[in-house]
Amino acid sequence: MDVPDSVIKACQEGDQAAFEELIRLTHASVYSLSLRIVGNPEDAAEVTQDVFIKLLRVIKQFRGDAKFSTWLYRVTSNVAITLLRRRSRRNVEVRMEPEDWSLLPAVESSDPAVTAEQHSLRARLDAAIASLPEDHRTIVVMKDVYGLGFDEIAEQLKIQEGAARVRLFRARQKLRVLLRDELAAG
Amino acid sequence: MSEKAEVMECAHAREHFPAFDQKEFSPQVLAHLERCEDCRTQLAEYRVLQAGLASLADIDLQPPSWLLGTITERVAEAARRRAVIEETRKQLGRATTVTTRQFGEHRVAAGSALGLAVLAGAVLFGRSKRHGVKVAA
Repeated sequence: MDVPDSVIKACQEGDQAAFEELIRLTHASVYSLSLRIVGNPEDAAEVTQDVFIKLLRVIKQFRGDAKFSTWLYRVTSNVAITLLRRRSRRNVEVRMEPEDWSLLPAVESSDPAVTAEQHSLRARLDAAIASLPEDHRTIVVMKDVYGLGFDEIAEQLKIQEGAARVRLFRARQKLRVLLRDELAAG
Repeated sequence: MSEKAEVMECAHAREHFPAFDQKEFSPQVLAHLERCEDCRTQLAEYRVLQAGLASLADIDLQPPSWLLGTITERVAEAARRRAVIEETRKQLGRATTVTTRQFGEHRVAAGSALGLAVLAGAVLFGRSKRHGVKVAA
């Protein structure tokens, strides 16, 4: 996700056109993270819309201490977790079947390093993550995929940092078993 | 080393592998890894897994085609609403400032009137005393 500093600055000054540019540049990344956390396209689309409405309010709080992408991932995971909580209160969980993840098309990357083989690995990894229980899936996505820190993960999930580490540990064990054949070949 | 002891060593070492990137292995685990190819393989699998997971962040999933337009519309609507709220807030702020100023002016006027009334009362009281007029309490 590449967002020029000038676009971020203009957004912070209330420039509507710059904000539209920001949406265009980042909505696929926000949608992808949301989908990986909430597990179905409808909820992911709802989270994505809510993230940008929230950004209108909070973008001034971005001070450039971290990368913009990391900051945006933090905002996104926060909105996605709020939706998970709402959903769990209603006792509703709608998830795509793990095998359906391989049918999801990926955005064509401009990066030549992203090969067809990586796209195929992507589908298998996404399917394996999707088959994890929600608490394990959330932590793998936040930590191992998007690189958020244990402190902020623990804060967002309202758990102790130690508990977050244990969840990640268990989730990695499960993923290794699920993907053993692929990993052995890799 | 007996087969049983070796299995126990493997089990002990493997307990640490999923957290391989969070803390260093003890000398015992490292020594076991030197000896045990199966454990080296398993550790390598965790490393490959983590590298694969980290690479996912660079591959975005295709959002539905309607999403960009919907976000843009909803954000524009939210921005309009925010602008109206901001404007109302500013106007309320101005109105509050004016009211406070007016209240201040009224306070000065009321204070002056009270002062004058007290002065007038004192003058009247003094005169009535001088002329021996009884003033009703």
